[in-house]
Amino acid sequence: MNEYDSELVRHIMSSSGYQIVEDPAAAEVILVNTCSVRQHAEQRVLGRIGELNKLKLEEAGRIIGVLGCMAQRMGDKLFESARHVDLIVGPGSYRKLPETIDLITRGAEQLSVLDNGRIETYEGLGHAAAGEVSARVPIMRGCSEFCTYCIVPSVRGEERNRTPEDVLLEVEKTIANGSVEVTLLGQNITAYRHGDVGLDGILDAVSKLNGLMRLRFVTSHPRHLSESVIDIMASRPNICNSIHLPVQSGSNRILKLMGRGYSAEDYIEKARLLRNKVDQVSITTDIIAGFPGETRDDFEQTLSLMNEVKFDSAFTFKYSPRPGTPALKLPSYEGSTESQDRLEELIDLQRRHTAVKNNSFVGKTVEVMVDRPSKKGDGEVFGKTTCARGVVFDGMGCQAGDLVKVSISGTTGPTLLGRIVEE
Amino acid sequence: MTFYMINFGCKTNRYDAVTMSLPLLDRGYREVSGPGEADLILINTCTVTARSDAKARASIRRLHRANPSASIVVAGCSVETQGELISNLPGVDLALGLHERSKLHYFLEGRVRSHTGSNAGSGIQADYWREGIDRFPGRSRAYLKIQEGCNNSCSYCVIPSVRGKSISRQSDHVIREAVKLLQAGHTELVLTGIHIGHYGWDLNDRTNLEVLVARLLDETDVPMLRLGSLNPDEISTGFLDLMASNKRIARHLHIPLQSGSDNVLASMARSYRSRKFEEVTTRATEYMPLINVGSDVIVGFPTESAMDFSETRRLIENLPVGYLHVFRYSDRTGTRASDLDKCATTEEVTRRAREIKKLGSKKKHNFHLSMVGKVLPAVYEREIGSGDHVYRSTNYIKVYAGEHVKSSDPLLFDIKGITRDGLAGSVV
Repeated sequence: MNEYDSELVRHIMSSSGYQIVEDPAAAEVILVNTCSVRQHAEQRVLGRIGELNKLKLEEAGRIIGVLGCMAQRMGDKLFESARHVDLIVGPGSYRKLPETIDLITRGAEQLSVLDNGRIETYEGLGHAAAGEVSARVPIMRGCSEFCTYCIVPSVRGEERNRTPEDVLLEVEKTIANGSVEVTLLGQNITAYRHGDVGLDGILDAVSKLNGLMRLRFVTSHPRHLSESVIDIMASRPNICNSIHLPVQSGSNRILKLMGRGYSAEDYIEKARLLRNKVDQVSITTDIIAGFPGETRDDFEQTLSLMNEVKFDSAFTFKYSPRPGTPALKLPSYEGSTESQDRLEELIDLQRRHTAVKNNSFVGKTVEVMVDRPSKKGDGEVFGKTTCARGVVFDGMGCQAGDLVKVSISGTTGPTLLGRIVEE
Repeated sequence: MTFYMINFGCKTNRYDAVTMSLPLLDRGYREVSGPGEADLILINTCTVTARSDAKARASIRRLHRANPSASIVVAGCSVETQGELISNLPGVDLALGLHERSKLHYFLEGRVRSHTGSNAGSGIQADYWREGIDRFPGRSRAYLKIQEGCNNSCSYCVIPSVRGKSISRQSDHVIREAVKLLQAGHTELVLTGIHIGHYGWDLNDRTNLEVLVARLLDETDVPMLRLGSLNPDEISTGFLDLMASNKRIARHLHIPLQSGSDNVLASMARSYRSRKFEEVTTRATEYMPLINVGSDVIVGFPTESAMDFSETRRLIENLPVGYLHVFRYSDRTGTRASDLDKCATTEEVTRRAREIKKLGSKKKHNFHLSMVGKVLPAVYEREIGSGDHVYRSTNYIKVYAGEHVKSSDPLLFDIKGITRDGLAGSVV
């Protein structure tokens, strides 16, 4: 979502006459889009903002702005920790960026725009990714889950769902601009509802649009993932057979403390449904280690859920206390040494599961959409399978957006290796 | 009972006047806007120049003629320098020394009869320092006195002999008073004193003006904090840094220069030289592009030659100075400068005063012009009739606007043009 927001900001800025440059030293305005989800993310942002001071000193008139969740969370306090910051704009206020920057160029100092955008969905900006193979289209903003550890609802506001018409219009526009893959975005996308239309309805309508080769959606909440969404995933060839379904923990006690609204059994049942109905489905997840009060026993239940579901990959995190969240008040947080050990155990187990999953592809032929040249160069390209695995292979002159058949010959950690096979 | 009050002189005097009027208001006195309907006339005087004293005496005579039945109380600095003269003027019932002013109501209630009339430097009543004031009637901008007196001894200045050595208020008391003033609805606080650059020197807790300002910003919600006059050598880079990093500190410094000639500065016994003024003014403008640096200039100081004067003029011409207060040198009895032989004739001094005032007006006009097209925060001051309102910008310029938007925080104004004495703008 933040990447989308950055694109949105680029669009808003270029529509008001700004030119986007890649080199910060050549910029008159430098904007930093930030994340607040974990403490570590914020520390990194503060480091980056600190570095920008050099550029500010080089040219006093240069404007430095902080955007995103951390801007929303810290507000004016950010000015105190970073004097060279000129403006702070939260995720619901990007429309006001050009005028705010204008005020600053005319002498106003330390401006913050933090209307939390309870209604802002950025409708009507005429924004559509131009010419990108893979485009993102948000169908909702904000989140109303209020999981006890999570700061997102307080910085991004509660859920605002876009109308199905607007979503369809934007997807059509991106296809017309040359996109062949669309990822629908929403912090809590399975909870999408506008009138009678849920996520299943959106997927149904969008997947029928001409020219759309691949359709993805993130991020799903297990509580809201319906069988009808699973059915439509199974029945539409252009809806990718991958789903990111954060489980967070395998212990019912901890899930309850997290306020997740499902049990480990519920989750396993949804995973079973997915595996049964969606051919070769890839299930990825997020897991938190060391949530306040997590005992060894709770943790082992997480390991056993992982062994049961066998995730294709997982993002694992150490619990990060976030200001103002209810989880802060929970007792008996076992401390970071314990969490670190558990985190490493999670990573280790997942690495083995990923290896087994990836190795099962060796010898098979999969359809890959070419994404970009690989980092190594030499004509190699990087692409993605429909189940969202990265594949590196000799592109033989393929263009981004091409769909090719690739025979998988091996793996390197998370990435598959292969070569194009002629039909 | 009704009272009418008039005040002369500096911002500190304004504050002192309020310390007299508030206890009266709290005891049921009513303040009236003219002498005719007053039972009591309060005159708070200033003695900085001979003219100030003369003005004080003239106003006592005038007010007595206007309302012979009112009883007249005279307070302030002139009482310290010419207590006897003032006490003997017709209509004067009471002449209060500087440090007796907070006891005014005791005198009126007859609970204290005898008084010295003059007790400069005798120390300040503990209750006065603790209590301070809780409001500044009739204004959105409240003065907050943080110290009394001055440790310098500039050769022309009578004030240290009147006000005594610098005595600072405890930071905790200042902060408590700031909180009270903000609670009373004031949206801007101005730190005042006779020499606020000396704040904290006499306290034992290593506090100073910079520390006090940082505490005020941290511990109160003051939307706009303005600083009174500071000498060039009292404004450190660290202090400018603190100002620049917090927009709640007004983009305004009043830095008295007095003369641009180092010879004259030396004979004035000023603690800095022109180079310092140049440095600080330039750096302040680098740090805060919108800052308004104002200054004071004395013309016709006894040792000031035509050459010295042109140095002053040239220095100011070349520096980003936003306004000038010009004073003709005034010979104060008992000061060291009083013994010096004068270089220039009265006519010559008049010519210099006229010339430097003209320069001041030009600098001010240009500074105001440079604000057109800018966006300035400003704090509400008052309605000026016919639906027009006046605000005061962070850089101390009046901003006229046709709207009154309620806000305790400064509003941003789009500056459209200049007016006779300020700017015209509209709320962004």
